[in-house]
Amino acid sequence: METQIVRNEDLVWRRIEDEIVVIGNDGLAVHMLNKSAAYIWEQCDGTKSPDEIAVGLCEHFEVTPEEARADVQATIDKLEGMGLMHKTEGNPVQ
Amino acid sequence: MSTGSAGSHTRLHDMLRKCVALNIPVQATLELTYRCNLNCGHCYIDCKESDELTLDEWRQVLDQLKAAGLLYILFTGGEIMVRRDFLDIATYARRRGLFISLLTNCTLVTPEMALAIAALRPVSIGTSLYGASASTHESITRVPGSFNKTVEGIKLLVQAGLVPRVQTVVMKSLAGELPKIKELAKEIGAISSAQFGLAPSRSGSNYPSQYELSEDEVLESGLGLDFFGVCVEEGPGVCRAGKTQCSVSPSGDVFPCNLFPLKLGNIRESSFETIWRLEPCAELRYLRSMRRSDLHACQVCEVKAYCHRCTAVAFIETGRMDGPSPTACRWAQMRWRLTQDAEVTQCQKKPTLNRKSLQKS
Repeated sequence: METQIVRNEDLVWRRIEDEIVVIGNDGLAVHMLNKSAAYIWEQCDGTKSPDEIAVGLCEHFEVTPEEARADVQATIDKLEGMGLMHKTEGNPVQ
Repeated sequence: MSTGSAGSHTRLHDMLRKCVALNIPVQATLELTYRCNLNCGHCYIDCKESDELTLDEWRQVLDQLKAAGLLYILFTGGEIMVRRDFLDIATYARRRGLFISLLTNCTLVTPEMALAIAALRPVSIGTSLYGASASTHESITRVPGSFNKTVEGIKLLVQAGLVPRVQTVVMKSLAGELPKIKELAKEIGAISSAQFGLAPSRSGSNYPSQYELSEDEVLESGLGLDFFGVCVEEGPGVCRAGKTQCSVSPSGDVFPCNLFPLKLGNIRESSFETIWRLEPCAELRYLRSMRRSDLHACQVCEVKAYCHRCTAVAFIETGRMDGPSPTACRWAQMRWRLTQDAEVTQCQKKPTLNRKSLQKS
């Protein structure tokens, strides 16, 4: 079993150029995600582990694997703390 | 890595600013019908259009708007609930991840409908009371029994867990009743707000202004300057109509906003993408290019700091988007006079503004 991260399904979000805007259930709470956070957000569809997302981050941004892992973890922790995503246990989709 | 640390209000503002630059229509007013079971004397909708998009066509509109970036919808009319499929349209919008707000006179709300609306978790529900009694309210709606129906409808929405906003446009007949309306709204579980100023009708007729308070009546109303709007230091600016805001009429005509009778195209003849982004008409391109500095007459007006000019109303009144709006000029002068009166009351400096030059502007 591997921990995967999934966005909360009932949240509304849109990509606006290189940023993503996530809007709370009340339609008023707005969260803006910058370029790299937006990438991580899009990857959190419940099929990837944090490590797999970090590998993808290295491929798309000029960061070392260590920096990518730290970035992914920090972003996930923050978004999870804001109630925008949650961890789930399961096998990655093949 | 930033997920944004500013307050939600600031982030919403930032998002809208970015969408303005990109002309992303995040806010749409969808006029589902022009039919209404009330007959309000001041209503700005004076068109007889009876052709209406079908449920399937509205679904297509919602799909196209969402693809263009839509987030927030205001459903309005006419009275939205005279359409039997109103809930089907609103439910479809919600399921597509769009936030909905409703404007309704609440007279047609049933217990079942109130629960169904609550399940859609609307961002807001606005309704109107034109008085704290049936006689005052119905002197405007011109439909006997409408006061009780509206009040009962509001109560049903409150029982379903919603908090409707009672919006009152201050008119001659009800200026003295505002405190009572506020009290009534609170008593039945709603919140209230009042606004000043009536727009000309969609076709440009000025009949709504007969309900507007005169300058002397404003002064006698005791409502004070705070009520009539704060000053805008830089003077009138340009709005988001045609940039982040759009409107679709019952028959599918697309407008920059629901007050702006500049038809950009029709959804039955062209896709929204074509009308909005691929082939915007010359007028829309000009509207998007307008800057505060393009409002030449307004820039030199002596009461510009008191002006809340609406581009749509200016266009209705004069046929120009960048000219002064006589209605806005009238209200700006009223605010200026209120300020002067307040200053005199406080024994402050005597006003020095030249009234004749104001009238010329």
